[in-house]
Amino acid sequence: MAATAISPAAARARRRRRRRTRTYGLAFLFLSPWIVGFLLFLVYPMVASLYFSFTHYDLLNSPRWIGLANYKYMLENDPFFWQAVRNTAWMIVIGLPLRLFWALMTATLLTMKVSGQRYYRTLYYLPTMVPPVAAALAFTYLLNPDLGPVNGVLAHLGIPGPLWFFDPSWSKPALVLLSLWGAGDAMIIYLAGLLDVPQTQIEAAKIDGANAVRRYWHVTLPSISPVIFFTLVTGLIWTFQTFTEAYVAGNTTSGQKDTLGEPQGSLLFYAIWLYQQGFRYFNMGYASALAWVLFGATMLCTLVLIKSSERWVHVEGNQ
Amino acid sequence: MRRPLLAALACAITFSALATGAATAPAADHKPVTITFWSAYTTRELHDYQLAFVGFHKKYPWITVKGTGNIQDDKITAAINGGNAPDALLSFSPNNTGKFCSSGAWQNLNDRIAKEKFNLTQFPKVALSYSGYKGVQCSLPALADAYGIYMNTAMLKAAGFTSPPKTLSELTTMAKKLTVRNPDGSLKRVGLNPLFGHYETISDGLRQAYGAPWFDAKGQPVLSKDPRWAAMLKWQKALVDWYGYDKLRKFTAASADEFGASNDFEIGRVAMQYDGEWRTAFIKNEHPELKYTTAPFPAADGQAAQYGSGPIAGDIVAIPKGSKHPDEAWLLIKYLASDTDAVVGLSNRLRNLPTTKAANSSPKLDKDPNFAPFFKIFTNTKSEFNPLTPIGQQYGDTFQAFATKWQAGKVSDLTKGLQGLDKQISDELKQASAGNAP
Repeated sequence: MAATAISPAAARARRRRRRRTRTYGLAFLFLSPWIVGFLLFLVYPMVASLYFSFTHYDLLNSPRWIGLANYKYMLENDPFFWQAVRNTAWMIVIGLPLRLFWALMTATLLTMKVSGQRYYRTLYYLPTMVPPVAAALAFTYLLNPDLGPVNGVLAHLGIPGPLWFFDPSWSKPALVLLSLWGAGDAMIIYLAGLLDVPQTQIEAAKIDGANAVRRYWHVTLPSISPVIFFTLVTGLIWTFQTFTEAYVAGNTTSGQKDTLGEPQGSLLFYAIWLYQQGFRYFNMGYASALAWVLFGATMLCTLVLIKSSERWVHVEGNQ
Repeated sequence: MRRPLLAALACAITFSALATGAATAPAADHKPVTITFWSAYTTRELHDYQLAFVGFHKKYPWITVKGTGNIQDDKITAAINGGNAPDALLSFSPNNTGKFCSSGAWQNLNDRIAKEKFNLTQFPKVALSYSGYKGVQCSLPALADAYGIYMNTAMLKAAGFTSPPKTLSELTTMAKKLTVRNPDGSLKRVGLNPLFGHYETISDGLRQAYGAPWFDAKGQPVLSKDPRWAAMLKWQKALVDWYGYDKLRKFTAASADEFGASNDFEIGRVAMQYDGEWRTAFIKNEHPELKYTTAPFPAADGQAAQYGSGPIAGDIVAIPKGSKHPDEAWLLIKYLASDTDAVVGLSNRLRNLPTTKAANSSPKLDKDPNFAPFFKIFTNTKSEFNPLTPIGQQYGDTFQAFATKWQAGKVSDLTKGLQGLDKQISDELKQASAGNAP
């Protein structure tokens, strides 16, 4: 009997342990739906696709281990890969900054005190609500070289309209126009940021003799730099995955299904090539390798942006 | 007394089992069963296709077929992998037959065919070329498509032409004479739109005109080695340039949907059009007043033997791995592929080519002089389906991507370009076989 006696301190420790276990258990129980979902729908597919990227896997036969062959093929033998990289890079370097600049300028205009401002805000935000497929279809009509109203108006002005989605030199700019039209999501975030800029700072700058441009450059922009950073990062990730609008526009204008980015490959974006490999050619091993390269590139660019943000993003309390 | 009785009983049981097994193995007790059937058909065509199930149910009253449309090969593959495969299916993409057959994703029908002495010779050779792979018959052809040329007879007559072109030179002359330009030089009406990628105008039709092979005996691409490929591309480019690439592109941009009532040929924007046999049904429904005629696509000059042939495509029916009622599914696909009345009914409703010889000569088949040339194209011994390869249709897409650049004048050296194309297709084939035992 004496051997099983527990000291009061040990009993307290045991009670504490039990309480802690119960607390953790309860927390785990409440978290379990998320944990199960996370493991099942994120971790497992990611690990599986990483494994598939080192195999030849056609979805029908068992995966066949081929080591780095998919990655080697991608870099050395697949011209469509490089074409897709170039097209995607174009959208990131030219399309994305234009879109963000346009959204920022629109938001800036919408901060001005003019009557009916709330209607303008709604009007500019409205295109964001349009499903991407519908928007792309509408733009293929608007920009139709022969029947579209845009070229109709240009013709009235004596300007010969381009072939837009039918011309490889104009297809990406046409896509950028579409993205500007739907830039309401970034615009609304900028608007919130702009309305939050401390008026005292602007007034102080005014007293110091700064004109409107200098006030915008030295006060407004630094104040909303965290917002710009956010839209830049999310926009970058979004642009890396350009798919729907380009896919719909390419297929609609060429009249063919599953083309390789018509016209002439100019709309073959990375995500489209990945999709074609996975679901048209059933080359899932290679598609997985493409997906991992995309993931790596996105991660790298995001990290570079985060690193660079130390120089240009002004957080309250920091330089 | 007991032993003979038992022996007789055993004999009776064995006999009945064998008899039922041989004749009506599925649902020998004829318990009602519902089987699922997926196809890529949609809207009107889906409805018209599924009318065949009524006849099937009459023949096999205990089997009800539940059909679902708008299912492409990627969804079929996902369902097979996920264990939710239908009992039977129809695919529009025989290019993938190789993969489905060799992987076992579609069940090998060889045993059933042998056991029932199912006659495969009732199908033209070309239809068998895309429904099986390396000796494994994993699907059956059920309706087919053949391609030829449609001609607006009023326009042809006005231009002084009374017969269809038989060579590409004749076609060129006709296309030019039938073209009408606006005062500003833009195209008002086009004789024949040769742009690759427009409607059905892909490389296959022209390849057939030249009889150019994709691969050599070893399965390697020969686009740069066989001079017919270069000749074909040059002919096409010369005609494109005659129109003016930008003008033709602009003209094509105003083309309505291929499968709508404002198809270029149906509304007279073009005088001639390369198209499939199904266009006859569209014209009948949408523009019955249109006067037109059909013929095989002309052969290249110097390739007269190719005249009368054309590219072939088709639907195939199969039983996927994981089918819960494979025996009933076999009865269904056999019915859809070979029952004369069923095939004739499907052909009459969908205006696709019947795939059996019996259906072809059935008096119940709707007579249509514009449909008839396609039967001849289908049964022509030189008519072909593109070769089945481990990369499915990827080589066709790769060529198409090259051809669209070529027609736009973006390829300065054709020989070099075709050599690059050969290398690229060869690389694609190599990549698909990576890791295979040598």
